[in-house]
Amino acid sequence: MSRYLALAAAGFLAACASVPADPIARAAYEEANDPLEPMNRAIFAFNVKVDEYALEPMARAYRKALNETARDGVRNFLHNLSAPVTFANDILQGEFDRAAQTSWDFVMNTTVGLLGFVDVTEGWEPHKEDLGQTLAVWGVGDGAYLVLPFYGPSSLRDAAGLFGDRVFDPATYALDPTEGANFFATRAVTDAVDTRARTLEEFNEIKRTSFDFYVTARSLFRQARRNQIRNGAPAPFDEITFN
Amino acid sequence: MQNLVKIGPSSRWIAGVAGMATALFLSVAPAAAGTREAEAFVRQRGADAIKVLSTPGINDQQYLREFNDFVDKSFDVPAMAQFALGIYWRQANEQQRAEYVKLYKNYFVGTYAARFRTFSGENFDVLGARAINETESLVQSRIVRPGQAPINVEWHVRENSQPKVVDMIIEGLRLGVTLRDEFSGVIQSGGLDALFKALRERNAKFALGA
Repeated sequence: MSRYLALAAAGFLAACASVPADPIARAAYEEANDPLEPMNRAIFAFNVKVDEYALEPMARAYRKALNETARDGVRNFLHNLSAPVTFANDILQGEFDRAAQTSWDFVMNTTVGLLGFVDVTEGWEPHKEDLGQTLAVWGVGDGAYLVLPFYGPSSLRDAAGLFGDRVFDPATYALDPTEGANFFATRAVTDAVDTRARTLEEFNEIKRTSFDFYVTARSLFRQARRNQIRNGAPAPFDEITFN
Repeated sequence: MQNLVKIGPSSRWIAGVAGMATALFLSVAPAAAGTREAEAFVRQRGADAIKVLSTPGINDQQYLREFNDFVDKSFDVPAMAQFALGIYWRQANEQQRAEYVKLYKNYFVGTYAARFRTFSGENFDVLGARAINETESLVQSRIVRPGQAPINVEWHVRENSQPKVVDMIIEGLRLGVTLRDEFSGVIQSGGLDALFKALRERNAKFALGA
């Protein structure tokens, strides 16, 4: 047992970047908050290949096969499936108004909205919550940046939240383990294809024009994630002032 | 089909309206004069930009000159450049700073001159503004594209002697922060020289020159 632990520890250390001694370089290193960069870069390169050979072609085919209304239906359906997890996290964050909105939307869209394919409560900005966001609201920091295989950018905190959220998902209890695994995998792939199809041009433009796609993706992910955690509220003014 | 049924419990509406009223009050209360000016400034700059685009028979050279002029009038490029260099600004000497600001400007103009020229039929709506402090405001705008989702852009305006844009926030993503992170990555792997080289290579490739 201890042998495996030692091996795992050695692997972890090998995956870590070396900490620079120069104070300015060190400040930049800390700001990047990416001690696992060598490992992350390897996984990121793998994900880029997966995108090139599978995800992007699938997204293009998906956009050709279904018109916008049908694609909106799929997105509504996926969004509705995530409502129970969002609801649980709304409650955990003390956002009771948003919890009321989430539960109302879920009931209406699942029934009148034909299992969620039709968004009958349109007009309210739909929102998504997850355990990573809840932990952040509770004061847990990002933790190191982490790129997950297939899934993409995350952090130690958000990756932990990803597993924790299964507890709030009715599918975990309604399905047997094999069915459950199939369901979660299918949902994740559909979600990825839908997201990629909606941002085909933007994604490719960023990939093409960035100085270092890995660093750009990390920056954009973090900014978007912080916006989600703040529920779209503006960043604290003392953080953004130019004076 | 999607607008067939629209139902919501009234308490949600009350909460929503109350929230909006609070947001409005908070944003208008401090430094209302400054935000109004910033908003008017962005609206004016937007109208000017559209004029540049809609000049009939304009060639690449003329367009680039006009766009350059538009950038000078609208953006505080040195402030944006300094922000994007982050902590490395302190490390750079006077000569390096001057060289860097020049490279940054060409990069900025090159990137957006090309991107902006592909615009046609878009509508630019200024929605409102909120104050950051006495001299800075965030002006909300929306670019409405035919057949596509609208893009929300916020303009971070600072007023010294006159208002200038110091940052753009596109769908919640800050240009300044993104560039600062990208530049920092390049510098960490090869120093300031690597960044200058990368910017020079990039600037040489812009289709419209610059």
